[in-house]
Amino acid sequence: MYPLLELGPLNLATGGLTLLLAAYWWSQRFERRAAHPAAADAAIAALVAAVLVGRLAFGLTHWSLYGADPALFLALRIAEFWWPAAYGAALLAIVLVARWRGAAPAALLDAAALALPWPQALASLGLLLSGDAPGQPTSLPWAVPMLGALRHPLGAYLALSALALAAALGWLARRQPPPGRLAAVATFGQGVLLLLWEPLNAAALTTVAGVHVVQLAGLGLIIGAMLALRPTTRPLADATGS
Amino acid sequence: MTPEQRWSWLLLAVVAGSLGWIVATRVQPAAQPVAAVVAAPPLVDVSAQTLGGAVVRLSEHRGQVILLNLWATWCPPCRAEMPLIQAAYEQYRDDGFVVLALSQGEEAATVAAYVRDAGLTFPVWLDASGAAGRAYQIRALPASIFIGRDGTVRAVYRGPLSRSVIDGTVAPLLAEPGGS
Repeated sequence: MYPLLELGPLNLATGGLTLLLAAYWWSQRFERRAAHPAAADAAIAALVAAVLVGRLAFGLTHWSLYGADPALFLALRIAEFWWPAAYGAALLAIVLVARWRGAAPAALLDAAALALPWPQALASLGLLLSGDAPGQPTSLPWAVPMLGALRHPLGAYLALSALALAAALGWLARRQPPPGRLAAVATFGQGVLLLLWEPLNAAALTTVAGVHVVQLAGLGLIIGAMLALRPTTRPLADATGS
Repeated sequence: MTPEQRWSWLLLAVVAGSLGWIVATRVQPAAQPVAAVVAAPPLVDVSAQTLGGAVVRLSEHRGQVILLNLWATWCPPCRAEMPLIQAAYEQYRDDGFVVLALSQGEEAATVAAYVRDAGLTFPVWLDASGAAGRAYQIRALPASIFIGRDGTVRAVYRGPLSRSVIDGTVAPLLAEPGGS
């Protein structure tokens, strides 16, 4: 693993750097795919909302600690974000900016969703290399040595899943689906990802009666996406939000 | 059946299947020690000093569920989690749980004063050179490493621990059979 990048006097956390790089890459891909003047603002708003809401949600789910010392909210750490909440907040921010700037929300959401999987795969590989996503111990032949045991290469699983999602979304995009469908399918995929891989995450310790809370959030994303994808007899113009 | 109705049934099936998966993959004690099926060194051992100057090793606590906490007195999140760790220690220590708090690169007098003021009763050791942090690939404080009775690292947490995280991790580890 390569947790630190030593540049002269600086010791930079490679996991955090990879996430920043992925966020920048996503914003560039999003703006290019959206091809709308509002996309740049939407990208910034989405990233800011993701950080703030992801952090706030994490604190609220660990209230025994954060309630006693609210200053902890100011310390940013990779492990201390609630990613499902960050994802939802980013989608909401894009919708709000689109409405504010007179753009079609569904079109911007589709562009954002289509832009996400490749940067997500990069971020996942970064977390694997930096050791920020340790998997559970296993004896499978592709296990990687980490923290004194052979473990599932969780970051690789996440990266491969993101690439599979990228392929599915790319295939769907070529079929020119109605506005909003790409975003809904992407959200479904993100929910499946959380549902599938969270049990293998050795750093996933937020549980209620043994149940991983993040898996429940993933199920929430799946349900929300399926409700959005539900066949409807409404005119298409209503569904696009335009 | 209309497409809307078919979709509703599909949604119900997906929700039911997902809930089944969530319940099947919930955290529960392993039926056998994990080290038995993993061909890897069972314990990354480290040595440290007690506040009194004695040399101690992590392996002395093999067979117990260990919360190895890397911290420092100057670190606000580390101080914030200490009352919760102390409370968990008091609750679980009779069941075979031990907290080993490794102060990173600090003087004994500084640490001892904090331990006294905070009323900590679990072992607090000095890791003057930061060897434990390197051994466990930790580079930011606080960080907590949960080690099962079999000596394998079962969970790693970067950042301050909340009580729910400690309870949700320690209780299943305590319920596991002892390591070989």
